[in-house]
Formats: sequence, structure tokens, C-alpha cells
Amino acid sequence: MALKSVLQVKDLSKSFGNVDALRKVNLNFFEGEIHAVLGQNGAGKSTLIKLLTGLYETSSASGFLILNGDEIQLDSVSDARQKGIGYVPQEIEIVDTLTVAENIFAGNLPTNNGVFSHNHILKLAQELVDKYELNLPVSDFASSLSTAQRQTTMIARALASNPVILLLDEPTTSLSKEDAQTLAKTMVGLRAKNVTMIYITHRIPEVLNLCDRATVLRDGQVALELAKSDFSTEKIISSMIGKSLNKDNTESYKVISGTNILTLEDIHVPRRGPQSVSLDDVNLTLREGEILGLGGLVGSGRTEVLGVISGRTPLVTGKITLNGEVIVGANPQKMRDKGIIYLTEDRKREGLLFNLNLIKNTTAGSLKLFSKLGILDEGKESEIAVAAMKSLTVKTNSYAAEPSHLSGGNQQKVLLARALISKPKILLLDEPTKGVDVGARQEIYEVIRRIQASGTSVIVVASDLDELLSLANRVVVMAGGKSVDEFERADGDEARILKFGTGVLS
Amino acid sequence: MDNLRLKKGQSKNSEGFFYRLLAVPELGVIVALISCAVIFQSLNSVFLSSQVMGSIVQAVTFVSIIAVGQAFLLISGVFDLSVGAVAGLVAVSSGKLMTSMGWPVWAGIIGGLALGAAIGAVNGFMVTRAGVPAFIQTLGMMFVAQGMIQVVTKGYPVYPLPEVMTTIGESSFFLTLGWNAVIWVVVSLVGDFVIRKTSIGRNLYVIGGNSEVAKIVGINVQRYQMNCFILAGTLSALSGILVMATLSAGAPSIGGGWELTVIAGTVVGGVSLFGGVGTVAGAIMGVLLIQCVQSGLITSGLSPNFQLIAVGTILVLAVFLDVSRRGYRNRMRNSEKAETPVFPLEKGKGGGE
Repeated sequence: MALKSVLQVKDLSKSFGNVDALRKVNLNFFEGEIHAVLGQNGAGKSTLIKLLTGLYETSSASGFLILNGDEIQLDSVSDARQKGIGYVPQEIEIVDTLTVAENIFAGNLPTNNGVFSHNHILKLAQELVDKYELNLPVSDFASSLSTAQRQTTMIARALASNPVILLLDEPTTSLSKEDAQTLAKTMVGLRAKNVTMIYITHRIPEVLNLCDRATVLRDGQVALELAKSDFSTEKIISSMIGKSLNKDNTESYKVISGTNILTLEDIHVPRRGPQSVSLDDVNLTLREGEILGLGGLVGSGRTEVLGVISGRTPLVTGKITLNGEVIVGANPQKMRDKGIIYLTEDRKREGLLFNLNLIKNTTAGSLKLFSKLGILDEGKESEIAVAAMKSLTVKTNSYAAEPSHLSGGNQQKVLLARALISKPKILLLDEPTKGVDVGARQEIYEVIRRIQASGTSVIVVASDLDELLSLANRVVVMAGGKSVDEFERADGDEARILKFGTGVLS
Repeated sequence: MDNLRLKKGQSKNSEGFFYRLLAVPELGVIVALISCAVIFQSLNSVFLSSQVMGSIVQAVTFVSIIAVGQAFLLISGVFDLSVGAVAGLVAVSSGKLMTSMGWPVWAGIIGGLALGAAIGAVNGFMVTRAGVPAFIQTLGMMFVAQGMIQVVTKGYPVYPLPEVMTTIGESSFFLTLGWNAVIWVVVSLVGDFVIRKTSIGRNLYVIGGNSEVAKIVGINVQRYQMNCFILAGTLSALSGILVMATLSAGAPSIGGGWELTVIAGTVVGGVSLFGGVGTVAGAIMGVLLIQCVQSGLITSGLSPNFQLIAVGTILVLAVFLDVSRRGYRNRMRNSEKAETPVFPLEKGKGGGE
């Protein structure tokens, strides 16, 4: 088979401040192939996608994109679409109140000599569906579609602009096994029509079954490129992990054999929105004084577990036991009163108060420490807050400043200070170093270890396996909304976490 | 303020006098009030006389009592359009209770306040529990209350009221001011204290700043907003009863159009429509500013028709100035940030790996 290059990525580099997201990445996508791009969280997959879809302008990176032999510059999403890069985003965005045909052409409605005609659109949609042999009832309302059909509609929308290449961004994340198989069939059908596809994923079995070639990204570089004949789970996993991990980090190897202070049993929670996943049988225990790491990939249900423990997510079935007491009707207020403090991964939306200064940010929710009969003692308040911020080395010109002018690391320390002044028994940390620069990361790890040393039990969610494994005394692995593995730090490493997260074991 | 600051050397220009002045939330409205007084005084020296000042305060009393409740609501991220109509409905209902129903005066007053609180509770329930947007719920309640005024009065004012009411309404012991002004001052001072100095106030700022954060730190958002609606309803009722006493009659026209004056004044006074920002003192000064301009236009001999034009212009101008002030402070902040390297130098040296 003579391979014709459809899209070539040449020496593509992109950095954000001091962080290199992509470093001289070279990729070649050949006509009629399904080419998998794999990588851990933070490997550079999403930066690559954003550059290929025009969300980041080509001029903001260095290197070349060559489409059908011509160098292209992408200035915007619509520019990328026009030039022939079709994009199927991770989220299924379908308007239920419109027909399938209208959904296919949404944002780009064709007109019949300047006049919008539904029949015209139906005809065009039917032509498209026939051409690619998609299973879609174009005149039906989207509300009647199955999940798999919705996904197909998204693909049809991308195909409607006659793309040279189709980019599918983790399309199976929100699909059931059956729906994922339907999708695979659709993709095989498209390949038969000579459509070239880039398949972004972290599920290795799908790659083995479906794809013709696979590229693994790691730390912004191409770590491995394999043809179908060379595919192997071991090769892909070891290349995703790399060898750069800090092996001498044995600080967390200590086995903490405290009593169980928190137990989750058979937790089930339905999906609550487009950004969340359902929990489907989660079991875990937290021992007093330990740091428990929740491992697994993005979308495996880690954040949702913290939601259940902090009382934000109401239980459907399952049992939470805290210090021997079964908790019924958990809500944030109640769990906070019991000493469980949650620190969000989304500082901007669920953490900081941009209308209040750092002192008031720190004391939010802990006003009782310095008030009598509801009247605040602001002198004592600033004493408490400033002491907490100083002990966490928050760097700011003034503690009366608002949080918007702090760096990510310092914002995170302010939120840690807020958590600490209420003297939590259990601290839940969701991606504690997200958006924090490398220097401040170590400081935050130190803070977390100090919190542990003071007797607080900690649950950490971290996508960075190095971070997770250097902090956690014990690890619970999440995959597909289930807790699938639990081990002492000394008994496992990144491979053990990844094996489950990538669907190799389940 | 001193204990909030780092050592002098570190604080640099960030906490300079000008910067701190810009941080005073009521700065805009204070400057506007002073310039307004200077301008109108120079146009006609009668403006700062005790009569005009007294009449301004008297005119402002009723609306600014409601503005206290509205400030609480806005700070917690919601608002109430029915306040004026509620004031009117309570005025005529309370009047009915005292006259045709034959209730004692104190019972009539309590009945009126209870009606206001009840309406506030309905608004609060529908907004916080049933999820109806505050705009729709309170707009609907405004129409309902206006309709009920007509039902209760059939279009005729309720009078004669018991003697005591008229005595309260017409009392005057300082300049032209009497019990109305006393109640206004007390409500304002208590309201400002609660917002600034108590946990209730602080939690309202947290809720208005970000209700998700408020929930996470264990604040019962629904209950706080509910209570703010009840407070706003009760203060509207109080205001309605005071107007009735002043007019010696429960006129069906009481409260007409006040909702917009209240919101305009509150916003002019620096309370953000998006929640979490502003003070009760600012809200009251905002209402005062609008009244000053209206009275000033009269003393300077302009046609009263210009009053509404002036109010509208001030409203937009006030919010515009507020937005620019925030932008200016942000720019000052950002220029500071640029001076402070994000990565300390020592880290930079070792960064080559």
C-alpha cells in the first residue's frame, strides 16, 4: 500500500510561560488510516488537538502543519474547519429540539439561494448519510436518538464540511461498551470510504482493535510510534509511563496502620451533568493519619468520590461510615461540621472569592473562630488568617489584597489556609497542584505532609502519577466509576495504576 | 489596616494613599454627593438651607429604608422588584385594619409588617426553593400586589386614620424631621452594622461572591437568601406604614415606581447588580444622591421634566465609573505583578536541569 501523507505535523513546539507543552513533535497521518494518539494526562494531547483545530493559532507555536502537501496556518476554529480538519469534540453537543439534519448543519446552515429551506437541508443531510453509510434518521428530532446515534450525529456534523482528515477527541469517554462498539463500526465504515482519522484516546484495547497506527506522547514529545503489526499493551504502557519517574521517592512507603476513620461501601451515584461521570460501585477505606491517593485517569470518577465524601453529591445507594457512625443525608454543611473539608480543583469557580480580600477569603466558613454573638472581631480575624497564610508562605504584597493578583500556587495556598484554620479531621484535595508552577509544587507537597503529620487524614486526587505516588501511603485506583484496585504504596507503582486506567485490566 | 500590611519595605506603592482611597467602596457616591452639593449651591444658595436639606431627607426616608433591604438582597446575589408595590399594599391593608376592621393601631402595624414579611417569604421560597428567577418572581409579585391594592381600596384612599398615626407621621423635632427620620437612621445604622461587622453580613458577601463556594464552606445559601427576602418585605412594609402615617391616609398610589428608584439608588451607591459588592451606607447615599439631583434641579429652576432624564443619566454614569474604577485598580495590580517575577531567581538558575 503506497502511503500518501494527508496531514503532517513537523517540529511542532508550543510552550506556556516556562512550561513546554509540546517539544518538536513530528507526526504523519496517512490516507485512510485510523491513527491513535495516546498519552497520560498532561502528555500534550490536548495542546496538540487545540493546535490542529485552530483553537490555538498556528502562529502561537513553532513548527509546521502540512495538509495535502501544502503548509497551512490556522487562525481560528472555523478556519481549521474550512481548510479541511474535521473535529469531533469529546462532549456530545446536540440540540434536542432540532432535527438530526439541523443538528448536522448547526452553525453552518446551508441555504437554498439565500433562503433557509428545511427540505433542502433534509436532502443534503440524507445525501451525507448515504455517502458515508451512517445509521441516522435525518428527519427525526434529536431527542429521540440513542447515545450512539448522537455520537454519529457529531461525526456527521464534522463530515458535513468535507474534511480532509477527521479528529476524534476521546469519543468513547461518555459511551457505554455497546455504544463504543457501534462507534467502532462506524469508524471502520468510514475507513472503508478512505476517510483519514486521528483517534485521541487513553483506552489501549480500543487502539489494539481499531487502529492502524499509534503514537504515544509523553511530556510533550513523541515517545513511541507503532504500526499495527507491532502493537502491544506492554510497549504502549511502558512508553506512556517513561522512565523519568522519581524512583527514589520512598517517603510515602511508610505503612500507616491507623484505625479506619472513613469507609465507603457500594457507592452508586448517577451522572449529574456533562462534566461528571456516574459512580458505579465504589468501595474504599481511609485510615487515620494517612494520605490516601485516588489514582485513575480524568473521567474515572475520582472527583465524584470526593463529592460524595464532602456531601456535595447525594448518595443513591451505598453507605458512608465516619468514625463508626453511619452518615445519613450528607450535605456540605453537615460534613464540614464533622471535620471533612474539600478543596476544589477549580479554584476560580469553586474556590476563591474575588470580591473579598485574602483575609476574608481565608476565614470564609470559619467565622465562629473570631465572633461572639455573631459580631466579628476583625482584629482577631486578621491575626488568625495572616498567621495561617504565613505558615503556608503565601507571597503577597498585602494580605488585604484581592486574590486575583496572586499566582496559582499562592492562590492554592490561600485555599489551603482556609481549609486548615477550621482544623479538619479529613482533608480532601482535588488536583492540589493544578495550574501551580514547578517551584511552588514542592512547597505544596511539603504543606500536605505537614498536614498529615499534624494528624489529619488526607485524600488526594492527582493526575500526575509522580505526584500521587510521592504523596500517597496507599492508593485506590478508579476506572469507569468503579474502585478497581487498592494497594500500599510499596506494593505498586505507576504501571499498576495505568493498567486499570487504560482498560487493559478491568 | 496596619496589621494587614507587611513590613514597610515590602508594601511599596501598592498600599499608597491613592490606592487605598480607590478601595473605599462608597468613594464614587461620596464624591458625587459633594460635587452635586457644590454645583447646586453655586446655582442657587437656597440648596444647602435647612428647609431644602430637610425636605431631601424627608423625601429620601421611605425609599432608603427599602434600599437597606434591597442592599442585603443584592449583596447576596438576588433582588426584589416588588418592594414598591408591597409598600403600597401594606399601607392600604394596614390602614384598612385600623379603620374599617377596627383593629388597635399596634395590631394594625404588626399586621402590616407581617403581611410584608409573608410576601417576602413567598418571594424567597419561589426563588430559592422552586427555582423561579428572582426577576420573574418579584416582577410577578409586583403585579399581584398592585392588583391587590386596587382590590383592597377599590381605588379610594383609606382614611381617616387613627389620631396616633397622624401624630407619628407629622412629628417634627429637628429641622423638619421627626419619627420617620429616627426610624430611618436606626434601620440604616443597624443594617450597615450587620452587613459590615457580623457573620451574617460576611456570609452574604460570600454567597453573593460565589454561591458554589458558599455551599462548599458550609453556608446555607437558600436560608440566607430567604431571610433577605423576608427582611426586604418587612422593610418595605415599614416604609409603607410610615408613608401612610405621613400622608394621614392609605393612598393607593403609595410605592408606585419605587422599585426602580430603589434599585437605581442602590446601584448608584456602589452595590453591584452581580452580587457580593457594596454596603448599606453606599446604598443609602446612592438614594440620597438621586434625591439631591432631583431637588437641586428644582431649586435651580429647571423644569421638573428634566428630573427623570437626570436620574437615568446618573444611573448609567455611576455604573460606568464603577466599572472603570475597578479596571484601574486591576491595571495597578497587574503592573505590580509584572515587577514581581513569577519564578524566584534562584529557581531560574537551577532551571537548566
